[in-house]
Amino acid sequence: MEVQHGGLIIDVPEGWSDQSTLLFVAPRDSQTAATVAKVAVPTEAVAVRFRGTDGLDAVAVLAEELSGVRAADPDAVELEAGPFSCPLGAGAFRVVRLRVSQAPLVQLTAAVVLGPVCILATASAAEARFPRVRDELLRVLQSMRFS
Amino acid sequence: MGKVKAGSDQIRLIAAGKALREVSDRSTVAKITVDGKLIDDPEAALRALQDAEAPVSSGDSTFDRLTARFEHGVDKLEGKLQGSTTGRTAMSFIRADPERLQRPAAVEISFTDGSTRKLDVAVTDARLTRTLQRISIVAEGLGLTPLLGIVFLGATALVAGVASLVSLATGDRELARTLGRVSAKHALLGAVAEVPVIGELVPALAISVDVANLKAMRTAPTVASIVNLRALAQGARA
Repeated sequence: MEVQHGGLIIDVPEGWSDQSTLLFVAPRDSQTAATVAKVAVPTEAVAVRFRGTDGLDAVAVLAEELSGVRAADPDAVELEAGPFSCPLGAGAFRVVRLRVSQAPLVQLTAAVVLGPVCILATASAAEARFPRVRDELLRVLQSMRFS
Repeated sequence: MGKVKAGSDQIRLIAAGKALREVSDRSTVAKITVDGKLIDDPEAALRALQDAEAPVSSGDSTFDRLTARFEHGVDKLEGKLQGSTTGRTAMSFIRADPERLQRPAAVEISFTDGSTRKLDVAVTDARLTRTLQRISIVAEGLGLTPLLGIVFLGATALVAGVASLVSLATGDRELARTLGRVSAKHALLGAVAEVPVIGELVPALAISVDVANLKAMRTAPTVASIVNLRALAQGARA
């Protein structure tokens, strides 16, 4: 089975599962002051992965994912939730605030269910930066389409 | 090469779909047979393959809840068993996924230019594999019962062994082979059931591996389903 990612093609044996994650990371903000750069401020990132729905719709998949996030950070808080759509189809999104290695992060996760498979795309940003980059991150997630 | 059993039309279709996927220009296919039986609708074969490769719902949340605590225990338990020869032997046996039932099929594709291509294809019987995994999980759970574990596992090993012989007698060699492996696995678990420490770790590892395998069949999309995402979406909308 031929799999293509960017300019790379790899032949994977028939029947293997796809547990890959596409991870895209924004460059460090060039305007960051030198003193601030010494502090570990996470930059924006978008991760896309696939999972089976196990019969769940997009909202339920997101709820299940949130319980996974809360296993890592019991204080994770849902800030926003609603419908999501992109060329792949309609789904749902959820915005969650959490801490990763003490750094406060906000994650915007969109889920689109295509039959038995769910596409989960998560955009992350430092909490302080999220309001400024929210729309850009949302546009990245909304750009998901078929090749 | 074994024969696809009667009543396994779906497996025959999936085998045809697997073979068709190897053909770059499907418009050149004139005829396709699996174990000598004609596949009328090649598109149905491709759809059957797509459905088979998609993760399926377990439809039993109670079973999932009861087994969830075992799902992430594999690495920890394997680490504890590494130090013992018996533990390592049991691990390799458990890791071999003995419940997986594979049906071989001989596919022949005839092309419009008169040429033919023969392919040997193996199709996992997902329904029976899941059933066997669940039976194993229950048996291994009972195997954790102090003192009685050896009795439960001995009984399931015996039942699986008898079922294997019955399957062989009825001509289902693949099922017989799979049940034979399950019987041997339960016998092994029973044999170590009363060994201090290992007797608890091995059945727990067996359950953890089976639960993880079962969950992977349900929630991990195959590479093929992601490569054919557009077709998956069209199928979902249809």
